[in-house]
Amino acid sequence: MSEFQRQHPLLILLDTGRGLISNLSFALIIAISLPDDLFGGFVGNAIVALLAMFGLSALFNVLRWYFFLYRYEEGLVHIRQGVLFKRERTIKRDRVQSMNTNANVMQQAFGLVTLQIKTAGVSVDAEVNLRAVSKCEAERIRSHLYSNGIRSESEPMEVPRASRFLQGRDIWLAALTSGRFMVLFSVVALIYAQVFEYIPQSYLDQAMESLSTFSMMVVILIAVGLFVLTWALSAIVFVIQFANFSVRRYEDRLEINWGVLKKNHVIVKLHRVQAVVVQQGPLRQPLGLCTMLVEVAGGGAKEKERITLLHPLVRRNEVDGFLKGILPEYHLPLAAVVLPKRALRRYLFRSTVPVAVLIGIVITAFHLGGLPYAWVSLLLLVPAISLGISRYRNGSLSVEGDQLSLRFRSVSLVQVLITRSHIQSLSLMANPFQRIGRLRTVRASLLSSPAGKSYSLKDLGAEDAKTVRDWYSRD
Amino acid sequence: MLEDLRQKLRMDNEPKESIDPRARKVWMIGGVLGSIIVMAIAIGFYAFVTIINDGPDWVGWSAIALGLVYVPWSVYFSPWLRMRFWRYELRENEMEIQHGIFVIKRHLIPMVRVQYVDTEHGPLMRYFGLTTLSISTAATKFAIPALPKQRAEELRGEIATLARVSEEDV
Repeated sequence: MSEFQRQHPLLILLDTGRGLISNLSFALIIAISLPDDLFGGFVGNAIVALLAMFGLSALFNVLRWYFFLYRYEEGLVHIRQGVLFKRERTIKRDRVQSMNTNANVMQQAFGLVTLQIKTAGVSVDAEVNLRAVSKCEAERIRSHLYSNGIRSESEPMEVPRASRFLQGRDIWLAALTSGRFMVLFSVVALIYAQVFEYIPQSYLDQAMESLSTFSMMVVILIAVGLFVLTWALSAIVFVIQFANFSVRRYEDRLEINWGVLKKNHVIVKLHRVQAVVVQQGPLRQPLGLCTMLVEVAGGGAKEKERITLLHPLVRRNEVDGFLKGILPEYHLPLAAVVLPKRALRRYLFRSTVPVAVLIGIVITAFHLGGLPYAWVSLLLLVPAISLGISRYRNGSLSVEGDQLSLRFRSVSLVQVLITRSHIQSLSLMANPFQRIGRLRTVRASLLSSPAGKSYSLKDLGAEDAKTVRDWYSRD
Repeated sequence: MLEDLRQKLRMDNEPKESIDPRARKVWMIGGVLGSIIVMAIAIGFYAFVTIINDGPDWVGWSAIALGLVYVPWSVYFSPWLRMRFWRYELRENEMEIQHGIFVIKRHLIPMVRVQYVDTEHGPLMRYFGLTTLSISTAATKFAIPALPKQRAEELRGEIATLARVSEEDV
């Protein structure tokens, strides 16, 4: 227990100094923009500008220092801060993920450290940052807060409980259906478009001439050839990247290895796994193939750090067996609640309206420009409508035991498995039309990226949504 | 018929407590300030397009018309709807919050997931003696605006103690 106290006053000096350096160019710009004869030439202006900036920044930092108070007691840290907008924060021990100290040269000279208390946070400022406390003070706070997570270093050799590999034919299957060639193809097309500008006009004219003499067939053949080439290329890249893929399940963790040129070794502690994602891309779904991913907590802001590939290729009917071996904590739902009939209208509406607007624009533009064949754009409605229907038919949800499973489609078909204790909060949402149609959107938020991540299913029946809510509710 | 529609637009079993009715005043004042800015922009646009650049009349007028639609919306209807749907309820193991204007959102936040509770107030809120209480989980953040200062501090304490006893894993 301690009284509210301020940080070391040297913080003012440190902050002001740092602020001054980072704003030096700004002060110079002001100095330049001031009329020359105001304070006796450029040098005079610069000095006045710098002094003014120094004064302002010092004042600001004094205020900030003065209004920043902290207090700690058994298992809790309180922070009170803010000059105009007051803010108080309490952090409890159980939620502290890590406590770091660091010190730059200036801080070291004065025996100060920066103490960062990180929680499994929502935003960047979702943590305590004491930037000028003495070393022993930091130690005291740490001893008050730290939950002892010391582990013994020497562990006996473990045998994995289960392991899966990606072998032989499967890796090529995975490579060819990865859908990466689309990305690569667009890159090739982009490069081509960039280069196109620099091709001399005369050459182009010539090419156009020969184009008309060439049959259209040849052009199409070239395009197809390019397409196949990028496909093959991307497949080879994929194979090199994911060669020797293996995933092993140990008692408390997953170990995943892959790669030849760049070897990757990832360890995922089991308690950091937040959800399992079974994904079926448009190329894989017809073949009954899936990709398995896990959402991992405490990762970075980048997608790569928080989503870990569990296995690049599992057959749909083997998913259950795969889970039983590698992650028996999760299972595929046996039965699922589907979307009510009245939701279909809304799914169709969402998928067709943007396309309809686009078609409207195209038709108007073609009409104004006097171009024929505007009606061809109407064909876009076909994929839009079928996507809408497919989204509606694939949307489903189930709660079994303590696991929530959501299935939905954007383009890929995605099935997410989350246990109740990993859902940070559950939201039901309804706009006026949904309320009239007694439909709800269900959204489960997870701890995965620093900003949090959520999965939602649109237009579930209100009664079914209530079932999920009651399942999640602890009262 | 109208009553029927109203019934349908309602959310069923809403959380019990409303926020302080003075919140509406704060929002209205905010709406008035916003309206002044929007109208200034609309009139400026009108002046710029129609008077200075001799553009077609309807372009300038439509901007002003849009501004005129925005004013009653932001000054009256939006604060009214917000006030109408704002509800919260603190139970032993969870907090339930409902809010929204068009899309009504209902959030369920278990106490075991609460990381911290903040109270804060801006100058306008402070003038009315109101405070915003925000609750953060590891992944999400929710705010209850405009609670009387006393009540907000009470709630913060309650949530902090309820969250402290929790012993479930993250």
